[in-house]
Amino acid sequence: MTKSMKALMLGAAVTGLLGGSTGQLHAATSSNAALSALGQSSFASSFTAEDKDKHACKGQNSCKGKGGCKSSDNGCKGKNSCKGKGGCATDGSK
Amino acid sequence: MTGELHQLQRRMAAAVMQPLTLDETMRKRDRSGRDNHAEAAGFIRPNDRLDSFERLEIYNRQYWFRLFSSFEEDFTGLQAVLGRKKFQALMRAYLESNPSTSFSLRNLGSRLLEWSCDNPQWTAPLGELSQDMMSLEWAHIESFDSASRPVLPVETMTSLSEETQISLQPHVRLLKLHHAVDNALIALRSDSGSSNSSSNSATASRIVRRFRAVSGVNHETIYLAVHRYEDTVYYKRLRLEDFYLLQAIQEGRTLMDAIDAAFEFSVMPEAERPGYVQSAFQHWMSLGWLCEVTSD
Repeated sequence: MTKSMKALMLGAAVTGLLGGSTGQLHAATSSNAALSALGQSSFASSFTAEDKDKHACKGQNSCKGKGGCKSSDNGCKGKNSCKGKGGCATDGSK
Repeated sequence: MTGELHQLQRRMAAAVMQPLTLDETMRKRDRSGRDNHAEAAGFIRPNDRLDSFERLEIYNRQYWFRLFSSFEEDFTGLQAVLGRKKFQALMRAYLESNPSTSFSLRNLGSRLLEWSCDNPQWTAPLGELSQDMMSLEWAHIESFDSASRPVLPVETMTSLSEETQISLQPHVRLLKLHHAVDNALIALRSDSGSSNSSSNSATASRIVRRFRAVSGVNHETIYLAVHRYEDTVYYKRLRLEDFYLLQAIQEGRTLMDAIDAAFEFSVMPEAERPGYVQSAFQHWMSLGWLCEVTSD
């Protein structure tokens, strides 16, 4: 890559980063002060949901193994195969 | 006393974690040939309804049912590719070779891709498609849980040089795949409905999830970013140039090296490249993908 091409590319990257950053600030705060601080108020990018592309739907896993996955019961309650057989007792009494 | 308790815990764990029979019951003998009835009687008292073995079996079964259920939930796409029977066989073989060693079931599939490459018989003749699907499903888990760091500050942007290194958010996972498994997995999950909860329920017999097959997955090279935005995971198709540029950033190469890497396999006319670079960086910054390099 020639020196002038490198300079062009670097300039393009910086312009892009600043433009994207302004878009983020705009989305987050809509603050004119923040935008003018960057001197970029005229080209805030219009960021839409489509830009993120395909929604993979499923939120998963973060609660696994932590016992907090069910919102309304404690998981085991009333559903164990051992219920009523004494297999679940933890105090050794049965 | 502490030593005795520790020994008892290890004994119990070893008994509970030993693999089930194909009928999903506790094995009569462990791997070393020791009688499990005698082993159970050694540290579990019977009651008036169940003997020691039967009491231990409850925990042994529930342990494995929980692993199976978690694994099936994590790899629904793989199950759809392989079919239920092959998937079940693969799951058992994998989990027996790679028993859970983490406090969290989230890590259960962490070694699946590597194991699958070493044991191609479990996915043949759909090895490549299966590996694409498991790569995507594991990337989804990683993206969901990985850290999000502060985005690149303006001061860094305005002082960029050719030698500057920037970094990619840890939750952005880059994949080069040989099949359009992203569309297939999204379609599959849309059919199944979204699930935001993982059941902790213990059940008497294992509930096998409703099975759906994937069909007509196109054989094509796709470049994909699996990323998180506002706590939701997205799959984003990338151009070839995007992929190599982001990959170089992720590898810690300098900005100019990364830009060079973007065009290594590209046929994009040179005149269009600066415009592409500007637009790509702007878009990724909008998504909050770029951040500073940290020492960790």
